[in-house]
Amino acid sequence: MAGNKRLMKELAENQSTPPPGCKISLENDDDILLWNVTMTAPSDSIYAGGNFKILIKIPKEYPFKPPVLNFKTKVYHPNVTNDENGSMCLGMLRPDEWKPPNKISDVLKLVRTVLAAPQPDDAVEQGIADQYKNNRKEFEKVAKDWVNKYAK
Amino acid sequence: MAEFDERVEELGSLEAIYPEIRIDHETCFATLELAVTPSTPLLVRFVPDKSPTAASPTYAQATVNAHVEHDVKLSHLPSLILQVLLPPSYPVDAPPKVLLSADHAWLRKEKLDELEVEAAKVWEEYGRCQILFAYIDFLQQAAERAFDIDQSAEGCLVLPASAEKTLVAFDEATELAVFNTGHYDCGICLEPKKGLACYKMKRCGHVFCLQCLQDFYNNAIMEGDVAVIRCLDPTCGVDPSGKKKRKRERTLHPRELLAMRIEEPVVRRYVEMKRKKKLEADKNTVWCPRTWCQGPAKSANYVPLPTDLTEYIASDDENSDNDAETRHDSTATTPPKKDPASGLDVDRLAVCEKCSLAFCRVCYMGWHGPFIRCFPRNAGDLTVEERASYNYIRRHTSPCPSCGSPTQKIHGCNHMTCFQCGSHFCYLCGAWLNKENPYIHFNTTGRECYQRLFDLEQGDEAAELLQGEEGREAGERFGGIRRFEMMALEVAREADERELAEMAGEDGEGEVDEATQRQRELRAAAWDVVVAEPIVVGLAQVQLNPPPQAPDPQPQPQPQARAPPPQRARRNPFPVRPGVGGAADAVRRHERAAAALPPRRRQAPHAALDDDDRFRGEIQRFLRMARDDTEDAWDSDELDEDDGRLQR
Repeated sequence: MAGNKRLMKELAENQSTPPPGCKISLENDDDILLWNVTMTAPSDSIYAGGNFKILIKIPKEYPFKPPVLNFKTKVYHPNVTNDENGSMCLGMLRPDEWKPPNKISDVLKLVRTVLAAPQPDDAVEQGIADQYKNNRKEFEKVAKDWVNKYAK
Repeated sequence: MAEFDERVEELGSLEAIYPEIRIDHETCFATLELAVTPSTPLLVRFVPDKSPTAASPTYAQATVNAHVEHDVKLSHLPSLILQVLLPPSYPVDAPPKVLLSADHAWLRKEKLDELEVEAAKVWEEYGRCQILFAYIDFLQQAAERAFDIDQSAEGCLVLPASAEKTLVAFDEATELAVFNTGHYDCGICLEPKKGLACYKMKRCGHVFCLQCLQDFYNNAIMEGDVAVIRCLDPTCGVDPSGKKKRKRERTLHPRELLAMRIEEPVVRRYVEMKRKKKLEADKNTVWCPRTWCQGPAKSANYVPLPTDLTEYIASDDENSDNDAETRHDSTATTPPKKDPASGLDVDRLAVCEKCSLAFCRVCYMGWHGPFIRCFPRNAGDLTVEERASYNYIRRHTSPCPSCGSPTQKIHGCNHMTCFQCGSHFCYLCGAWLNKENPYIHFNTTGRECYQRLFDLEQGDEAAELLQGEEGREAGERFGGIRRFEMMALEVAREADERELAEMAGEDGEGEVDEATQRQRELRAAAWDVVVAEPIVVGLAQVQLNPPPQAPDPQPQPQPQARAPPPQRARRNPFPVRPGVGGAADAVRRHERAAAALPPRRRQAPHAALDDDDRFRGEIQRFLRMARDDTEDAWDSDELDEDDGRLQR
């Protein structure tokens, strides 16, 4: 499949010059469709100091279908589901907005941007989004708590 | 050795610079084609006028032609052909003789002259030396600026419309040739590819390799995902100002998919799906009432797909927010054909594009002609006014037997002439009358309209007014031919009610029965007023007073339901309550009765019983049909065969 060749290429590229704040490896050496990413939160964000494990599941149809993202480290964020999946579905990750030329590194850049600047209007966790909008202090406190608890 | 010739030397060096130059060394004559590829595409206006190039068109001319002229931006124009003859005295004493021309005469004579004169000027400027290279360079720079044509009074190149095809074709062919020689990185497979294996999107110019495009679009079309058939570049469709997406990203024209060498059936499926989606999204779409068909009705807004998909007319969503040049697609300018007669709201005729059934878009019946008043089948879809006028029409008009136009008599005799089609007919019974002698209808004894030529002379409305309290009754005395329609409706309604009552009264049958019984009797009494025609009474008698030989066996399992109250027996035309369950029950009863008969009695009365039940069955069938509005298919002759019990 054409996607595999591209994926090898992307993997090589990402490992030699990883996107900012990311470390990429394969979950299993023989499965190129499961990527392990360790993302360091931007230092100017409230998540600063946190290291987040993200699992990227790449569909067989890639790059025609978008990859699926799961935060394995719990994170208090309006755009990440607060469950064991830690799913994120934003912008280019949506199936109807995904375009094949997007790369995994683009996705990771987007994730890092969203980590620094949550998008409460596009939230999956409405409660956190409301708190982010109306009670920023409390939100930041919990977010930092979680970073200390889970992401160190 | 011959004298050193500067001309030969100069031509020799030109040959090295421009390998494509053709030189005749004997005469020192050279020909060179210079590509004209302006740095910014040149705006060309094609004007249908015969010779607008001869004299520059005036403003008035331009406005007159405004509705037909056609602006196109061209990136490639036919080459400028330079012919130079170097006279023996060149370069010291004489300038080179130059002759410029261009294919398809797209450059005006004056412009060419102007450029030619420049050769001598350059020669003077450079101090009368070898100036050919400098001159060619000058021409090339001029070509890059499109010879400053956009600086002219018109601001664009004006050409006759006849030149459009060739120039546009040249532009496209050159563009493609240039593209094919290039190399591109496909953003999907991330491989470098030759131009030949790539495709450049028409609207935005993004390039991808054919293999990836084919894989992606084939897959998407197979999955039925029409919305993603668009340019695949992530920046495409994103507003440059912000991250906001355009309302709807434009999908690709089938022409482009075909150009990507995607197979025609696949492309057709794509266009069909697109069309179907739009039809389904359009509230005005009318669907064929045939359950096995359910195709959309033909509509001027959705023309059927052309056999050649490149001719497909992209609908509004692709052209609405479009830039001027793509809108001037030759196909997009021809508007969809419109039926001059169809002012959609007025015209109720709809023709299914799949099975060609002609039907009414309001009542969904087979097409009934333009004059029939019809209303949506579902009474809930009617507004109060519509219902009122429907009821009025039903109560107070007779339809013309030829064209169906509702006709109301306000005054005069019952011999009517249709205002639409001129048919003669009887206002009372709707019979078609021979115009030679229409009155025979009212003068024949035994006929239902015998001696009734002047019934309701003042019109039924007037009768209503005059008689005040009694008016309602008097008004309803006029049933016209529509009384059957009304009866059928009433019977259908009663049947529904009965069904409901039966369902509700499973347990407390007695009380409910009594209540509904009373209700029914009241209604029946009202109905009796309407129904006073001999033919109907005849039917009722036959129906409700079965001939004595009808073998109702003694142990009747369902006698009480069968016998209606005696006071209604004579007048009610149809078996309003012919026994619970209607026709099906009649059949069942018949079977049971037959089984209950002792074997020896079975033979003789069998025919009579059959007749009776068949008759009842027929009536039931008619009622069912009337309820479904299909009673036209009912052949009343079927009953006529019935041994003369019908008085006709």
